Amino acid sequence: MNHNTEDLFCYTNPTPDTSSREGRLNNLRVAVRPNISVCKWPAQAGSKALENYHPAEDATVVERLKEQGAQFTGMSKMSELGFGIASDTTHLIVSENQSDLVLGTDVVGEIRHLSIMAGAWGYKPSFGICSNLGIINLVPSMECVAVIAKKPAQISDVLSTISGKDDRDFSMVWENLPDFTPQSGKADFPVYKIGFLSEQINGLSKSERSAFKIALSELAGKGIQVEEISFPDYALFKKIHQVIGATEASSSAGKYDGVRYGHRNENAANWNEMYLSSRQEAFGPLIKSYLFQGAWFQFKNYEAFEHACRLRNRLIKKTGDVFGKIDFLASPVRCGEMDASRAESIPATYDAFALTLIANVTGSPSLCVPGIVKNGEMDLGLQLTAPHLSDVKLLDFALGYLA
Amino acid sequence: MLYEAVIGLEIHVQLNCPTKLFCDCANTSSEKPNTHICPTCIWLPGRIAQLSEDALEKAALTCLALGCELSPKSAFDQKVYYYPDLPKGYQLSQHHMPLAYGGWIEITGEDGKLKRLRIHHVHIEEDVAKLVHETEGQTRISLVDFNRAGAPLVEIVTEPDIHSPHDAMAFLRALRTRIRYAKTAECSMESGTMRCDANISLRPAGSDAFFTKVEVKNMNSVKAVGSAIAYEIQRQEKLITEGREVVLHTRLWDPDKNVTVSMRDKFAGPCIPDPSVTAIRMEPERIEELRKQLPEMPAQKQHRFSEQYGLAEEESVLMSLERDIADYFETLAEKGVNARNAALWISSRLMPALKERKQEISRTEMTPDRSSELLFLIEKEIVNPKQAREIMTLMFESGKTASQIADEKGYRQITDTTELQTLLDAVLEANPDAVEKLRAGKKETAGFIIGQAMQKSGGRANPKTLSALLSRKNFT
Repeated sequence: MNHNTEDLFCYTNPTPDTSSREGRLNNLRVAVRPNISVCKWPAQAGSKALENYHPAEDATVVERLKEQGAQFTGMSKMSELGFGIASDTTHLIVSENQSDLVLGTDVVGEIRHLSIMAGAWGYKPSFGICSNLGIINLVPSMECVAVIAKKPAQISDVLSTISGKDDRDFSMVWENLPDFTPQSGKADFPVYKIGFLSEQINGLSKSERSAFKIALSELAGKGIQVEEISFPDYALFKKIHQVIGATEASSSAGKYDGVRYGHRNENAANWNEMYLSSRQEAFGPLIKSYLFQGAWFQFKNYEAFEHACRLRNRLIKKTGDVFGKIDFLASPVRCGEMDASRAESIPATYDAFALTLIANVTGSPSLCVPGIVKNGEMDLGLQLTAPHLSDVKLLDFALGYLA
Repeated sequence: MLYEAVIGLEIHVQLNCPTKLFCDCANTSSEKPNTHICPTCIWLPGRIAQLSEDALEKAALTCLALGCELSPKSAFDQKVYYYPDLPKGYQLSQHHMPLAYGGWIEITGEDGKLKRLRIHHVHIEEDVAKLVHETEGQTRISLVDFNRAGAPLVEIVTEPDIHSPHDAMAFLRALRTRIRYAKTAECSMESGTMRCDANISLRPAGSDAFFTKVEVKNMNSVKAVGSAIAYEIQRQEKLITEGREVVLHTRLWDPDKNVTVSMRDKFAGPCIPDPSVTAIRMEPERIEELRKQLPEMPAQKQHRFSEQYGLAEEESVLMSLERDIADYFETLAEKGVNARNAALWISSRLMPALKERKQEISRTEMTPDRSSELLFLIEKEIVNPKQAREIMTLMFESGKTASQIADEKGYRQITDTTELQTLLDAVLEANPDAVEKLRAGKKETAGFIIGQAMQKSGGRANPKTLSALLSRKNFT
C-alpha cells in the first residue's frame, strides 16, 4: 500500500532540485528524521516541546551531504524525541521509494529496526565518529546519527562523507578515525570469526532461533568461523541502558521549557507554573514516563545512576574481551514477540529493542542486513556488531559476503 | 559551653578571557541586554559546547597559582536545576572530575601565627544568565539578560579549615593577590568578578560533631564576607544557646542592614556526566609549559626582595602585595635607586598620590623612569624631601621632568658650605638669646636655629649640612 506524501513526511522540501553542487552523491535522495537540523526546516523532533523550532543552520552531517550533491527530500514523522518508533514513517519513506536514504538517530536501535521494516540496510556507526552538531539528542552518551540505505555501498559512501573531524564538535573521537574511502586492490579477506551470545539467542523463540542458526550456517558455508560465546552479564545491557538513558534524557530534556520555542501554556500565573503546565502538556506519555524515571534516578536514587555508570564500564570491558576472540557479534535485529512499532511503554520499548542495545551501551558500530534471517514471512534482520572504530572492516565484510 | 565556627568558602572567579567558555561571544559586560549571545549560549537544541582553549589555559594557570595539582583528566557534568537564569535546565560544571585538587594558602592568623588553609578542589563552570526584576505598571515582571550566560568561571572550594571572619578575609585577600599575579582574573568582589559563598556551622570547641551548616551568599566585598560570617556565627550561637534548631538553608547578606536574611532555595539537583562536552586531558608536558608561564608568586617574591634588596619584612610584604607594585619597585631598584628608599617612596608617597588621582600603578603617567629621576635628586640631596613632594605633585600636573621643575622653582638645595656658613652666622647674629641658650647647654635650641636658617633660605638649605656646621661652632 502506498501512502500520500503528507502521510509520510512531516515536512517536504519545496525546492528539492536546487542542489547545484556536483559531488559523488549527486541524485541521492535523502530524508531526515526531524531531530536532525536542516537550516530553516521545522526540527520538531516529534514533540510539541519543539513546536516552531527552526534551526538557523544545517547539522554538520547535513551540510556535508549537501556539499556532495545529495538532495534533501523532507522530514519523516518520528516518535517523540527519537525514543522508540511507535509514530515513525521513516521506514515507509524508503520502502515506498520516496527517498534512497534516511538519516536519523539511534537511541535504543530505532534506525536499525526501521531499516529491517523497510527491507533495507541499517547502520549505526561507532560512537563519536560523526559530528553531533545540529543533532537534537535525548541520550547523549548512547545516541548517534545512523543511516537507512537501500544498498550497502551507499552506507560507505555516506559514512565517508559525514564522518570525520568537525571543529565545532570537540567531543568527537580525534584519533584512529575510520577511513571509509574505497581502497583499490584490496588483499584477500582474512578468515572471519563471528560469534553470538548464548544468553541473547536463548531469549528467542524456537523458530526464530533456528532461523538465526540457518543464517549462520550459510555464513559458515562461505568459510566463516562461527562461535557460541557465553556472556552471563547479558541481561545487564537492558538495565544499564534504561537507568543511564532515562537519567540523561531527564537532564537533556530539561531545556524544553516552552519559553523561546515549543508549546507554552499562556495562562499560567507564574513562571514555575508555566514550566510545569507547558511541559505537562507538551510531552507524550512515553517520553513523560521516561523523564519521570530519569528524574527519579537524578533526585531520589542517584547512587543507582552512579552504579549503572560503573557497571557500564564493566560491560564495555567485557564486550571488548569478547571481541578479542571474534571479529563480529551476530544476532537478529528484532524478534517477533515484541513489536517495536507498538511499544508504547518503557518496559515494552526496552523488551522490543533488547537485541540492539549492546551497540548503544558500548558505542560499537552495528550493521543490519535484510533478507537473511527470515522466520516465515517475518524478516528478523541480521545484526553484526563490531568493536568500536572498526567500521571499515565491518562494512568491507558486508560488501564482500552479504551484498 | 564555648563554640567554634567551622567555615568553608566557595569562591567563583570570572576569568578575564576575551570570549565565553563554550562559544565565541564576547566575555564583557554590556549596558544593552542580550547583545553578546549566540545559539550556543542561549542553548538552542543541537548546539554543542566548544570549550575555549584560552579559558582552559587561564583556569589551569589559576590552579597552579594556588598550588593545586592539575588532574590528568577532567570532564564536565550537567548540574541540574530549574530556574529561568538557566534555560537548558542544567549548568555545565565539573562535579565528578574537577580540573584540580589540593593547594593551600598561608595567612597570618589573629594571633600572629602562620596558618595554612587548604583548598579542596578547583573546577571550571559556566556562568548563568542575569535576572532583572521590574514592574510594568502594576505587574511584576522578570527579564533575563544572557550577556553573562556562559562566562568562564572557576570555582575554588576550600576545606573547612577556616574558623573566624578574620581568617576568611585574609584567605580571600591572599587568594586574590595570587590570582592577580597570574593575571588570569580581575578578582573584584565589588564588580562581581569574584563572588564568595560561605558555609558556616558551629561545633562545641574541641568536638568533631557539627551543628547544621548554613550557606550565606551575596557579599559584595571582602569586608562584607567578614561581617556576614561574624553575624551568622552570632545568630547560630544564639539559636543553639536558646536550644533552638539550626536549619539547613541559604541566607543572603543584606549590606544595608548588616544582617543575613533567609532566602528560598533554588531547586538544586544532581550532576550527570555530559559526554557531548570534550573531556580535558592535561599531559605532564603541558602542565610544565603552563608552569613556565606563571610568574614568581608573592611569597617567593617577598623572600627574594628581603634577600636581594635588603628590605625589612614589612617593606618586602608591601612591595610584593600586587604584581604591578612589585614590578614598579623592581624597575626603580634596577635603575639604581636605593631599594629601601624606593620602597618607602612607593608605599608612603606614590600609592596615596595614585589613589587620590584614581590612577593605576601599571598605567600611571608617573612612570618608573620619571620617579627614579626624582628619587636620584633626593638621594644626591639636590632636593629635600619636602621639595620632592611638591615636585611630584607638579610632575603629575605638568608632565615635566623632576629636574626641570626643581630648576624652575629654584628648588635645588644649597649645599655649598661657605654659603650656608654665611647664612648660619646671620641667623646666630640676629638671635643672641638663642646663642645664650646654646651656650648654657640647651641643645633643643639648635632645632630653632636650623629652622630659622631654613626659613631664611626659602627651604632650600640642606638641613643636614646646616646641622653639621652648627655643631662645629662648639658653643658649649
